[in-house]
This record gives sequence, C-alpha cells and structure tokens, in this order.
Amino acid sequence: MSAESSAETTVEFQDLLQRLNEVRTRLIRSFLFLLAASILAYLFSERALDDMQARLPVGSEMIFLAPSEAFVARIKLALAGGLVLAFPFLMYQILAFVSPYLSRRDRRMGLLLIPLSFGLFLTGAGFSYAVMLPFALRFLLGFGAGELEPMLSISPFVNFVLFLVLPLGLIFQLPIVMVFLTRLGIVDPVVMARNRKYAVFAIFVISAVLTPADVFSQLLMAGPLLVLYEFSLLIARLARRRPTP
Amino acid sequence: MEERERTGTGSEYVLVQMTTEEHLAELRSRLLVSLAALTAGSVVGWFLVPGMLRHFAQHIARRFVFVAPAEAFTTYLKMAVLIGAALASPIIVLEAWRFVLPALFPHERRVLQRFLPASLGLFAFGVAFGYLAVYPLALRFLLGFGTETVQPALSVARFLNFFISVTVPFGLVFQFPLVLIILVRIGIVSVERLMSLRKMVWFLSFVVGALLTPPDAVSQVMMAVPLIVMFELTLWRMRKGERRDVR
Repeated sequence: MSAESSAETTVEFQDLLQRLNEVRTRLIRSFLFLLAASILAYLFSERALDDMQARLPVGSEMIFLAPSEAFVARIKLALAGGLVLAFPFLMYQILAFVSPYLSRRDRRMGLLLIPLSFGLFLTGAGFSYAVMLPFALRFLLGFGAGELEPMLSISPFVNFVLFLVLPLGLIFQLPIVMVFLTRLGIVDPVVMARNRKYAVFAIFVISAVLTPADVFSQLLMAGPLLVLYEFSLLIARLARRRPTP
Repeated sequence: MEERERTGTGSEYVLVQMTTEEHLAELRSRLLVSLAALTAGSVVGWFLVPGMLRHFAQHIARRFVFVAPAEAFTTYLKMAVLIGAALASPIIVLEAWRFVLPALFPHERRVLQRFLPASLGLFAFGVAFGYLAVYPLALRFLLGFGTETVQPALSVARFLNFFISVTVPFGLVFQFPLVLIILVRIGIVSVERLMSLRKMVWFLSFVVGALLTPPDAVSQVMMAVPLIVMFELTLWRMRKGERRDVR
C-alpha cells in the first residue's frame, strides 16, 4: 500500500518537474522573442516618434529636460512596440502550455482566438491612435494660447500617447471576454442589461484610472467603452441564443 | 432621539430633536448645496483663469510653458476649482455652521461664535500675507538665480504649485494663536509652561517654516518670524489676562 503510493508520488513529482521545465523553456523563449521584437521596434522607434509628433496640431518640435530623457523615451517606445509585436507569440506560448489539458475543439478555438484577439487589439489601438489621439492633442494644445506656450517634453508626450493607445487595445478584448463569460454562464445578458447604470459608473472609473490624468481623455475613453459595452451585450445575447452543442 | 444629560444654560435654548434619518437628509441637502456652490464658482473661475494667468505672467515677465500635453488643461481646471472654492467658501462655511449649530449647547455655541470668525479672519490674513509679502519676495529671490546662460522657462503646473505653497500654508499656520489659546483654556498647558518652552517654540517655528514652504530661505524665515511674533503676542495677552484675574 505505502510502496504503491510512494511510487505514485514519484511519478507525480517527475511529471511536475517536467511541467516546470516546460515553463522554464517557454518563459525563456517568450523573453527572447520579446527582446527580438523590442529590438526590431527600436529600429522603427524614431520614425514612430516622428509620426506621433506629426499628430500635433502645431509645431512638432520637442524638448527634453533631463539628459537621459530622450533615450529613455525611445527605449520605452521600443518596449511597448515589442510587447505589441510579441503579443500573439506570447499568447501562443500560453496556449501551447495548457493545450494538453484541452479538448481538440478547445485547442482549435484557442488557435483561432489568437489572431482574433490580436486583430481586436490592433483595431482598438489603431482607432485610438488615428482618431482619439489627434482629437485629444488638438483639444489639449488648444490651451497653448495667451500666456501659455507649448514646449512639450518628450517623455510626458510618449507616456501620454502610450496611455491613450495601449489601454484601448486591451479594452477591445472585451467582446472575447464577454463570449467566454456568457458561455460559462457567469454573465447573463439579461442581468447585464439590468445593471447598465453600474456598468456606466464602472466604465467612467476605469477610464479615469487608465488614461492620463485629465478629464478629457477620460471621456474620450469612456465613450468607446460605452459603445463596446452595448456591443458586448449584443454578442452575449447572440452567444446565449445558440446553446453549446 | 437622544436625551441630553446636561441642560443648556441659556433661557432661549431649545433642543431640536431630530432622528438620524433627518440628520442624514439634512447633511445630504447641505452637501448638495455646497457642491452646487463649488461647481458654480468653478464655472465662473474657469473664465477668470486667463486673466489670472496674465497677472502671473507679468510677475515673471515672460510667458509660461507647458511640457506635458495635458498640463495646460489640468492647470486650467485646478485654477478654476481653486477660484471656485474661494468664491463658494462663504456658502460652504455657512452650510457647515447651520448643520453643526443644532448639535451644540449654548455655551459651546458661544465659544464657536467667538472662535470661528477669528479663525476665518486669521486664515484670510495669512493667505493675504503670503500673497502680498512672501510670494513676490520669494519669486524675486528664486528667479534672481537665473543668469545669462540659465534662463527660466517656467512650467505652468509647477508655478501654480509654487504659488499655492507660498499662500495656503500661511493661512493654516496663522491659526497658531487660536491653538495656543485653546490649549491653555482646556488646561493642557499653562502659560508658565509655554514660557519655559519658548526656545523650543522658536526653534520649531523655523522647522515648520522649512517644511511648509518651498525650499528657499526667504519664505522659511517669513513663515517662522510671524509664528514667533504670534507666539509672543498671544503669551503676552494671556499673561495680562491672568494677572487681571488674580487681582
């Protein structure tokens, strides 16, 4: 009895070791991929910065106040770009790790989900960059009249752009999350419709936390979020109507 | 709702009985009125901001800059709300006063009636002192360190923070005499004890001056000296009062 159980434990232990080993390999691989993607992004960072500056309504000249500021801003930009580029690969690593526990159908769905999720991310980030960013900049720099002269420093500017663009990419994952939660029965479209006012409140709070600290960007993020909430509600209704086979 | 053990001394004193719900409802309506006043004041303030900025720009003899995209906007908002708070302060104080009043006994009411105007007056006096005396001197002192090769390009958000830090703390610090009087009245310290602590108080005045003002010697001294003067004047007043009592 005891010998049998100890043998079982050994097998389990070896299994665990194997899994840990796999985690290690996958982490290292992800890290290397992230590094490569960041280096690639760094090569384009100057052009990206030029493009961002071109979104400014007035003169696009910028300053940096600390000696290391311009360098750090470029690195930050490269890391953010690298993270975006590596995103599908990182997702794949996670999926591959859990795939032994998934059914064939779920595995296929996971593989399908990665490009879908990446596409949604790019859509959200792209929307933010192409529509919200110029709008926000035009509004905010509109205060540069009279006694106020814009003399934008690069690091706050890059932060501002990243915090406007990246969160929206993440938030655009909401439809996927909603489908999952509905399928799992955690979220009910009827409840969602009933609790709309709490959702609106939560959206404004989240927008305040995620965006640069001004009311304007908060509203700019809350708007699309509200649309997205209604959209998710629609998706949830559709997802529920078709019962899982 | 509750029975009071102590009874009021004043003959006109009427204890207003209210339930907890009524108190909460009153608090709610008073908060709403205060908030409405603050909002209205801030809206008015928003239109006063450009003029104020022009005023400040004259003090530094150049335009302000803003270094972060949202800086100009957030500074506008902050200034508007500050102006709004200043404009709405009479209403807010009045609402607070009316809310607290029914909860007080006549003698408490009399104490508060004496101390509240003094406190508000001292606050206004302190802020005025900060604005009229400390702010110009500190600004001139600090900008004086600019040279041919080191030119000021002041960020508007930081300038506003500087401005607040040379005005508002003075309003707070000028409550010192009231604090002293109350401490002595309650019997936590005696006048004699305060006298023996004089060296300590003088020293602490400079420490407080260093902590509450921007890091320049000018505003520190300009906070410490009034503190010491107020300490001495209050002590002198209270000693005179005590001697009269003894006689």
